Amino acid sequence: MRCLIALLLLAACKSEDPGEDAGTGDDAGVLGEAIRTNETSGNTGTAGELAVTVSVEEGDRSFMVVGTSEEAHLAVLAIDDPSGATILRWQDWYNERRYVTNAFWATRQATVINWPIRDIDPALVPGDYVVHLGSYRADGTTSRPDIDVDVTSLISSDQDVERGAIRVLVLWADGLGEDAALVSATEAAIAHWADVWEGADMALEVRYEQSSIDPLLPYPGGMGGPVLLEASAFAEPGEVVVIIGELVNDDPSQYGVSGQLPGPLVPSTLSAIVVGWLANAGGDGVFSDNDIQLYGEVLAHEVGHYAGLFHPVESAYDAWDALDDTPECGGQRACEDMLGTNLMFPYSIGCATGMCLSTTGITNDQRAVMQRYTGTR
Amino acid sequence: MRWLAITLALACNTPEPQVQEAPPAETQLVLSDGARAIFERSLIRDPEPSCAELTEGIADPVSALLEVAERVQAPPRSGMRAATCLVREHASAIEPTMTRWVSERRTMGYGLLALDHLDRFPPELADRLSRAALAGDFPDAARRRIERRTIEHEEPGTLAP
Repeated sequence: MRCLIALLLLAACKSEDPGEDAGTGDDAGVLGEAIRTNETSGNTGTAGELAVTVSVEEGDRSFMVVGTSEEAHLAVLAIDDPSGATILRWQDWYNERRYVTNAFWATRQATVINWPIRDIDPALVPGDYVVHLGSYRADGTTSRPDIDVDVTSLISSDQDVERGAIRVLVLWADGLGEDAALVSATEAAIAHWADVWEGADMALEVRYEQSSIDPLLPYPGGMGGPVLLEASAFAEPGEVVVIIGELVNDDPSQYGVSGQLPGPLVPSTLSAIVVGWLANAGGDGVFSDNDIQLYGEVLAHEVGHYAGLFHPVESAYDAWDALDDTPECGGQRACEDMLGTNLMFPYSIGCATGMCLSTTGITNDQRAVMQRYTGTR
Repeated sequence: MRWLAITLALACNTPEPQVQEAPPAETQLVLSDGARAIFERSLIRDPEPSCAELTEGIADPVSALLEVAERVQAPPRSGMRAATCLVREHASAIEPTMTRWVSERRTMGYGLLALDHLDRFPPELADRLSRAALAGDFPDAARRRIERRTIEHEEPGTLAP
C-alpha cells in the first residue's frame, strides 16, 4: 500500500514539462584507461526534471550517470536511446518486487545509474542517450522544482564483457592499518574475495591507504555522507573505495554496507563501502580461518552490490533481483536450497556446525551485470 | 566402491566436485530452545532484527543471549549481536561477564565491543570496566577505545589505574 501511495504521489507530482537540459560538458576528461568523463550541471526547472545527455561513440560499452544536489533528493526517471525510444522508465519498476537498480528511489541527495545493467538490456549504439533525473523533497516522492544538480557522466569503451577487473582502494580508518593482525587477516580475506570473483571472470586490483577517519563508521547515506565523501576523495580515478573500520553505525553485528547500488565512481556522499572488522572477527576479536573466509565473502558481497548486484531474494522471501537465472523462490527452505550458497544471498546458512556454508556462487546473469559495471575494465 | 571412485578420479585427473556436505549430526551445536531461537533470528541481515525482536517470547533473555554469545562460533555476527543486546540492555546485570570480556584475551572482541559502549553505561560501571580493561590482557587496544569514548566526558588518562 505504501508503494502504491508513493507511486501515486510521484505520478501526481510528475509533469509533462520536460524541464531543462543539462548544459554541455564544461569539464571533459579521461578516467583511467578506458573511461571518458564529462562534468556538467543544470537546474531541474519548474518540472523538477533535468535531462542529461550522454554522447556514446562506436565501441562504447556502458555508461554511468551520477547526479548530486546540496538541496534535494534525486532519482532517475528514465533513459532514452539515440532514436528517442525510452528504454528504461521508473514506472516499470517502482512497484515491482524485482529490482534492477536503486536509482528510481529518491532516498539520497545523490543518484547513480549504470547502463546497460543486464545482458538482456540493449547494447549501446552510437548517438546521444538522455538520462532524465528528478528532484524531490526528503519524502522521496514530492517533486521539488528549481534544484541545481551537478552531474558526472562516465563512459567505458572497454568492449570486453567476458573478463574484467575492478580497481579497489582499501582505506584504513584511523590507526587500523597499523594493526598487524587485522592487516594480515584483511589481506587473506581479499585473496579469498579474488578467488570468489574469479568465478565471474572478475579480477581485483587492490591498493591500500591510511586515513584519519574515525573507526566507528557511519551508515552510508544521511549523516554518513560526509565520511563517505571524505573517503572517496582518497580514490584515484575509477577506484572503488572500501573503508575498513571497527564498527558500522555503532552496531557490532554489521559486517559491511555498500554506499549505493550501483556505486558511483566519482567522489560523493555514496561513494564507498563501509566494513566493520569486529563483526567479522567475532567475540574473540581474532580472525580464524573460518572468519577470514566469511570476511572475504562479505567484501565480495558488498562490492558486488556496488557493482550492481541485488540479493537474489530478500530475506523476507518476497522480492528478488531482476535476473533470469536466479530463481524466484518462495519461503525459507526453498530459497536456502536454491540460492543459499550464492554470493549475494542475504544471510549465512548452515552455521550450526561452527562454520557457515561458503557463499561463492555467481550465476551467468550476475556475472554479466558485474562485467557491464562502468568501473569494470 | 569409494576407493574405486577415488582411483578413477585420480586417473582421470579430475578434481572432486567441491560439494559442501553437512557434518554429522553429533557435531551440530546444541543450544537451549531460547538460545536456538535467538541464534536463528540473528542470522537475518536485512532487515536486522532489533534486540526486542531477537528475544521476543523468550522467558530468560539474559541467559539465552549469554548462551549465544559464549557458545556460537559462526557466524561471528550472531555472537556479536547477542553480546550487543546484553551490553546495551542488560549491562548492569552482566557486569561480571563484561569484566571478564574486557580482561581476557580470548574474549577481546566482546571486550572491545563493551569498551565501544562505555559512554552508554553509568559512570561508575564505565569506570570499573575501564580499570579492569587497562589491567587486562589487551591494555593498548583498550586504552584507545577508552580515550575515544570518554574524551568528551573526562580528561583522557584519568581512568588509568
